[in-house]
Amino acid sequence: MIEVQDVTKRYGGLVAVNHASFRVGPGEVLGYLGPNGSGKSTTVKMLVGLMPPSHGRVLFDGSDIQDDLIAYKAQVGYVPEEAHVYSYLTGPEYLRLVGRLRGIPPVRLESKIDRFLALFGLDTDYHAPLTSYSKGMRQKILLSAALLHNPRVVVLDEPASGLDVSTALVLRAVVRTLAAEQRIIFYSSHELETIEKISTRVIILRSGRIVADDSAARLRELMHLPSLEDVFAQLAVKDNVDQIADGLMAAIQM
Amino acid sequence: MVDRGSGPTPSAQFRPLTETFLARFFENEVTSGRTDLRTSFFWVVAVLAGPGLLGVVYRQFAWSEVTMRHGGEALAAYVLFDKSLYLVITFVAIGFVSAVAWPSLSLDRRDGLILGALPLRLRVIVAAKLVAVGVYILVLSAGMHGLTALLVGGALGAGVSLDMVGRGIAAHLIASSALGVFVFAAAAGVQATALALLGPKQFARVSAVLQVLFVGIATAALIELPAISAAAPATLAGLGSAAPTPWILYAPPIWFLGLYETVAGSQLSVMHDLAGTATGALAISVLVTVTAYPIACRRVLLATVQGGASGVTPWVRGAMAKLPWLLARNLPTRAAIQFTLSTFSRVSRQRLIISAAIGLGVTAVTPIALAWLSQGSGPPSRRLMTALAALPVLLIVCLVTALRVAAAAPAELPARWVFAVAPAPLLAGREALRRIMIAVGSLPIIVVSGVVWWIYWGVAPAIGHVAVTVLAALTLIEIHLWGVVAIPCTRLLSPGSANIQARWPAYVVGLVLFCVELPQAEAALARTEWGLFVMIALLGLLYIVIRRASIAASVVAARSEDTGSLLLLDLSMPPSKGFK
Repeated sequence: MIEVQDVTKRYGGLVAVNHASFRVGPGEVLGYLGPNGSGKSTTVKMLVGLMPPSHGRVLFDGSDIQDDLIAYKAQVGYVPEEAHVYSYLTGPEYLRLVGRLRGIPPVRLESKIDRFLALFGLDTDYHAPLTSYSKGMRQKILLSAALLHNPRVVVLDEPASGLDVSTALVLRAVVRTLAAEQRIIFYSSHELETIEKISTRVIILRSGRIVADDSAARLRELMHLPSLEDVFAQLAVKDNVDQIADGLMAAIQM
Repeated sequence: MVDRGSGPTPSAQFRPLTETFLARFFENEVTSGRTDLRTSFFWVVAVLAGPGLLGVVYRQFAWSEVTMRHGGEALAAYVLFDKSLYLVITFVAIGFVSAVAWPSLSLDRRDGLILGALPLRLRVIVAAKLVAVGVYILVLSAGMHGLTALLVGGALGAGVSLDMVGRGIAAHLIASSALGVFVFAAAAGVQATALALLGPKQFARVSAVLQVLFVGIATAALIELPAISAAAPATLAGLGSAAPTPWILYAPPIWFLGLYETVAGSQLSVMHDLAGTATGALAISVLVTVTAYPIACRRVLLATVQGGASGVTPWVRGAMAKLPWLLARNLPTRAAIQFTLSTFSRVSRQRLIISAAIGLGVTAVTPIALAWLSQGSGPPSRRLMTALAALPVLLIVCLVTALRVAAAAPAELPARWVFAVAPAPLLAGREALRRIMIAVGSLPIIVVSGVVWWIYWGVAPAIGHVAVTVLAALTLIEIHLWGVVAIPCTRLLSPGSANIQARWPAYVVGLVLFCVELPQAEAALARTEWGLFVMIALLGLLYIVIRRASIAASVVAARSEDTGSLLLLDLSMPPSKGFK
């Protein structure tokens, strides 16, 4: 169980996440939604232990993750929003680095790498450096690196970014299966349709504050709206969409 | 079921991490081929080891003669000059290597984002990084000094005893490697201390200054190389006809000469004292590095996760915004200028190249300026006048070459598609770089130099000097732009296509022509009635011919998609080719 308790993150005077509290347990897929700049990625970074909260705590199995960050990170698989990799390495070299840093025995690591690459269709690019990979190919490497050590907690920040349709569908199926195996899944994304289909619960963030926390079906029912998109538009979209679109058209035609 | 391995242990994590950090010195995304930089590294080792090796081979005959005539002990004193020369060359070479390796010495934002989410302790990351830096300098030292140590030890001890051969080899290897480690550790230590004290954001602002300082010290040592080496025997052992020069005792290569002699078995107390200073300096530089590194790494890791550091000061931002409007009316050229100037001022690789050039230029011209200022109010000698005429040309050569190399180095390659889809004219990138080279690399120097000429020697000589310098700068710029097509910083670097091993004579001849022959001709012809006018006319003609040929070469390169280029680092691949 991961429990976020009254967490706030400040960057100087800017409050990125404001007193957020939620829980996500084994077998759950928590969809995390919010417009740009609402604090999604900041929450993710605190959740994976990349940075500590300014206030509040993140608990894992009842203990503050900051008490033994290394032990906690060993349980977490993380796909970052930005595809940062050592691009002078090849795909297998990068996975080997991550696997070795995570302490996976060499023989098991090599066979895992081969299987991941084959399943993601990257085995033909075995000797190519990551700098030559497309965005989707890099994303597959990041997904492989996140799942290589069979983590208990999977934190995905825009994991389908750049993936082709079939791989995105495979990812959805993998997320569901992982949840069925009692892993804790945290899925942050802008893709409302995906979130609606795979999440057991949805959190909507607006300006760093949680404005909704329930299942997608219950949110629709409570707000008497036909889709999660409408719920999101009502709760999180501050701007008048039509007015901005008109303004943009005027700017284009200037 | 969740099934995990035995779990990561710090010792198991240390090796792969060290390998990754070490690989960054040899390979990166800058190069077009995976082995390109590695090949270049071996060339670097060969170039660094070359002078020492050739020196030993060349001097062996003289050493044999001294041994035969005066015995082994006399030789030990005689070779002090050669040893100090070798150590100063090592000091200069490793100084330049440290400046080049500057961005790889500490952790960066990418390290923070990749490693931060992994179960790694800070001490493992710090230890791996330190070991990678240590292995790099040791590999470099072994490559640079290994063979020379065998030759020197063999040559100096052959006539004495086998023990002396062994001591000679050990002394050469230990002293020269220790000097290299001292210089590299000093660079790493200064960087780590600055990072630890200032944090990444402020450090980004002072980093370029520190690089300039490093290159400046190395260049100063290069300039003083003959003086230090010539003064060493007289100052340290009371040998030769030269007067003792106590200031050389403050030069780090001389400290390590003391270490060299002490390991080789010298009984001179001055050598033992210098060896003590060398050992102390080495220990302090290593200690400072090891102490400051963990703090620096922690600050980098924390700061990179929370947001990128910007090293651009407001006045630089303002200048970057206004210059494109002043330099070009054509909109695509203006866009290319804006992009290039922003890249030069914000991307660390480009900043390093330009900083190094400024350091090199300033250090090269400082002795000339000092000689002029110290000579009093009388008219300068012809030799000094020639040196003064060479001063702006030297600076322009440094800056224009640096701008060319900075333009050839890539920045954010995945973003270059923006130029491929924009309907820019064929030579917009070339024209942008030309105008930047004129406005940033030449004009300020010419203006300052012209004003100084006008104040000290009057209007007419100032006009003549400015005309010669302007035409020389424009010609130099056209030569640098030979075959250039792409928007600066938007293609992979191909050090191999520079073909330095085959073209270096041309570069040396060009350098001598611009920095020695041209100022000499200017100084000589300035005293004649029409000589300078003839020279200006000839230079003008040369400029027109070279400009036409240079543009034609760029057009041909663009149409034929020829990736080759005449000059230092080719930039001629059209932007439409090879995008990922």
